Amino acid sequence: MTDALSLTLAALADPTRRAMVLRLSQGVATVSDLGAPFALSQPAISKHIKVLERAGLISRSKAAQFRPCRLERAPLVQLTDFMDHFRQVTENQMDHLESYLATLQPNGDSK
Amino acid sequence: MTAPLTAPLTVSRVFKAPLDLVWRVQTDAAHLAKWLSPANPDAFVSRMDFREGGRHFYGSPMPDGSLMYGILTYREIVPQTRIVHVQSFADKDGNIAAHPMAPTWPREMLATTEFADLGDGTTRLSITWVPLNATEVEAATFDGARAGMQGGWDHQFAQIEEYLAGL
Repeated sequence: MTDALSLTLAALADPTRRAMVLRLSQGVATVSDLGAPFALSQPAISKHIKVLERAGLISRSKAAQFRPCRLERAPLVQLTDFMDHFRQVTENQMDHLESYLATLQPNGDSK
Repeated sequence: MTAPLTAPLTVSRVFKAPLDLVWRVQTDAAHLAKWLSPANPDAFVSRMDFREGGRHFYGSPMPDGSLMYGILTYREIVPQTRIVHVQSFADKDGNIAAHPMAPTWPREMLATTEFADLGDGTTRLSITWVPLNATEVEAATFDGARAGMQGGWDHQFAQIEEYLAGL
């Protein structure tokens, strides 16, 4: 299964790729800019960038010579929306559970 | 700003109820109907097979009267300690399906529910969610050599969220 959110999360599961995303949140960068902080081979850097591209987290300009990378916000926004929704649903269920536990223990101070 | 974005997502709460009771209301279908569907417990549909490898197929009544179906598949059950299950959206026939309102969402989430007796009749319940697919990709991708770099999850996510909040 390759739904968009799972791709985003898988891409962000790696600390090197998260660091690249953070760097790009400051502005566009070339592949060598992105690789500079890491002691990694060029192929390893390229592989990380491909994973980010496949998840739609970055796009690369075709026009410029060094094909700079740009951060795409949509997958990040989708991820935070999803996380917010899941957190909200789970919190609501905890509220219900709390009320129900209170009804089961009428003598206890369950609030 | 919303709650800090961490992945996986964890929600935790302390209940003023003893551990055995908190465990029981989570694992007994008759109790589940009453707290998951407090407005209409009789309309809650449930077929529960609570054992490792077993499933709980349920339909939870929505405000409009329709049922929202889901399936829990239990992977690990440690009594009064931990439940690991796969949570899926489902159709009325019990097939795994996309969320009706959000077709792009992961169809399967891995949930880990942990129970902790805090003494004095209080219990902490923590639920951690992560899309199943991402978990398994992560498990396949991450090896021991990378373990030393794992520290930054929460910190980096907080920074990404800060970035999004500033847009």
